[in-house]
Amino acid sequence: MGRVLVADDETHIVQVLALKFRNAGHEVFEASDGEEALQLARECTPDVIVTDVQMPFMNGIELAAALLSDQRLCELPVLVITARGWSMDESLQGLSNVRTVLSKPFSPREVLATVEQLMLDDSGRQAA
Amino acid sequence: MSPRSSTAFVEKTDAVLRRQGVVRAMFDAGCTEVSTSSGDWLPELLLSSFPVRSAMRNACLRCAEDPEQESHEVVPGLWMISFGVFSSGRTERTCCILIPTTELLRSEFLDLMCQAARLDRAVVTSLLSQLDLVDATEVPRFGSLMHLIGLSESEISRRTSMLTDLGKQLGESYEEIHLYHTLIGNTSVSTSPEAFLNTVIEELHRVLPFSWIGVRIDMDSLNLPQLRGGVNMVGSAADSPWSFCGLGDRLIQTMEGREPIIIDPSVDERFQMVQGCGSSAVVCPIVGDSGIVGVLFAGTGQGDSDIASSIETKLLGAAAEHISVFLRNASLYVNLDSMFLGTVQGMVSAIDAKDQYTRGHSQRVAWLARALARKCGLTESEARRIYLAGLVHDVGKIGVPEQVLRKTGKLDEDEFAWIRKHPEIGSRILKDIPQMDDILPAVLHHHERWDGAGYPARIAGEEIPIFARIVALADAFDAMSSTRTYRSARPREFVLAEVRRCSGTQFDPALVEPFLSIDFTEYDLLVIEHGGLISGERNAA
Repeated sequence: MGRVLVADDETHIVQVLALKFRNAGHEVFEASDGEEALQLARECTPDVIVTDVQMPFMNGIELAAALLSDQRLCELPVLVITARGWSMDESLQGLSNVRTVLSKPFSPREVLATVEQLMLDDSGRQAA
Repeated sequence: MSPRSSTAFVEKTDAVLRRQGVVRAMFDAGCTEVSTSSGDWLPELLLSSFPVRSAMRNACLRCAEDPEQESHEVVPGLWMISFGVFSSGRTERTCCILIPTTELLRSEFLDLMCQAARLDRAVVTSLLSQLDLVDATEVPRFGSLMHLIGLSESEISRRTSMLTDLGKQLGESYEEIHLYHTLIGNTSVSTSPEAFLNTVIEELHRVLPFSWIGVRIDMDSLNLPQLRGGVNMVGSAADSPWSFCGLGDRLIQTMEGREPIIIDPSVDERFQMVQGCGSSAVVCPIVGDSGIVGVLFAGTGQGDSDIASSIETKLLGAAAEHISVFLRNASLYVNLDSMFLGTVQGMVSAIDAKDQYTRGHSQRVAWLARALARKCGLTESEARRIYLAGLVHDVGKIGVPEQVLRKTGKLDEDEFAWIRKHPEIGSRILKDIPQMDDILPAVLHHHERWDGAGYPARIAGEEIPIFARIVALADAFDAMSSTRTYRSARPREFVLAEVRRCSGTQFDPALVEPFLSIDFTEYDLLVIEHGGLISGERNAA
């Protein structure tokens, strides 16, 4: 089972995702903004980060960039959840750690499946 | 699973209490201990002796009547505080808190307690003296605070479980909203019903844990020629689609209610015709004007665990309703569209009736204009509009006297003036049909020339709307290629040479090369079809 860090300033989103991950047996860390997420990521080294884009203090894009520039965390896969219709292509350029972008309203099942796939890909890559 | 945050809070409190030698024990209504002490010597010591066990039992019985806090010294140097708490829902529990004071170290009962717990007195004394034990005078104040903490914990636990429930429901609502979002995104009436049904079941298969999902529509009860019939299936249904098709029909015939139903395929005789189904399936009727017109069904595979829970059934039911609405709209759209095209065809026949020598001309111009539009890279929907423009471009000829249209010799100035009126007449005829708005310019300007020498507006170049420039070229090509009252048809090479020669004068030069690259095979078939009629009539005359 894996370790997932969920970052969103909207409590209900964190609640729904955390519950989904915990019920699937994963350990979950919760952050309500990008800064908190970055700090938590350094402390608990999760396997995957699921983050919203629009958050106070440090947004999801800045978070992904900060993770990428951290030697210990640059390999950490990031799943970005964004508001529907929000064009991400430009802002994501160069952020190779952002593996998947899903838009709200999202399906919690789909997010869980994607996160578990990212964990699998990651362990596969580390084994190789 | 116990709620994480309340458990963490309780563990933290226990750790703080433990440093002061304090131990808590929880009992359910049947006086059975529900808290677990994992091999720790302190709870063993405090909870094992007979006087303590008996005191805790009495506290449980008393709390059932009165949950208020009570404290007393069980044995010299060991106090017990007890009170009732509500954990989740209405489950009553008794919380007993055992507080050893500094006096216990000197108490003769410590021997008894050590014996009951099978611990060594000397070791226990040493361990106890390392703890920050409570002074006897502090016990009442300590008790009130403990009671308060106990109540807070039970409140936190209640709220945490409420939050978990809400989170679960919210998560299910997210699934539902997400599904609706995807379905609605694919529901424009221009989507073909076939593609729509496939999108729905694929999307459902992605979101729901069914191993197979299918939809069967009864074609006889719907007016949807684009639907191919049969059954649309996704997932791992071991059996062939045809047996599911038959299953779908039986379900349509035998379903009574309009709500989704959960069926066990291993006992339901309707499912006996298909192989490979597991032990649960959900069937949702698709309701149309005439009753049940189809079913959306999904289920587990052999050996899968049952998954047909309420949320799956609800989502499937929502999708079935969505399909109902879509099919009804699609059927209305088909009706309207065929009525519209029928009306246009009627107008075209009216022109043909007046001028038999141009029979089929409108249809051929429509075909050519659409082919040219595609060659020029216009969108498919624009190409469809241009086809319509081609069909109706000469509708104004209805207002031109028949003797002018049918005249075999050269036209005089007055007669030619009549002919020149047909684009304006046509655009006047069509101007009150809102669906023709974008086609009017093509009708009005299809006799303009690139060099500005055409009619009626004498506009030139790109001032002439693109639809009109396309129809003009198609019109001229067909006129030259077919037999007219005043001359016979010209050979293909001659006509193409003319088109090339008039590039930049009569025709938009940008259209000429794409036009020359058209494959005219289908056009030639149209000419033969229409031409045969004309020669036949001539022979008869």
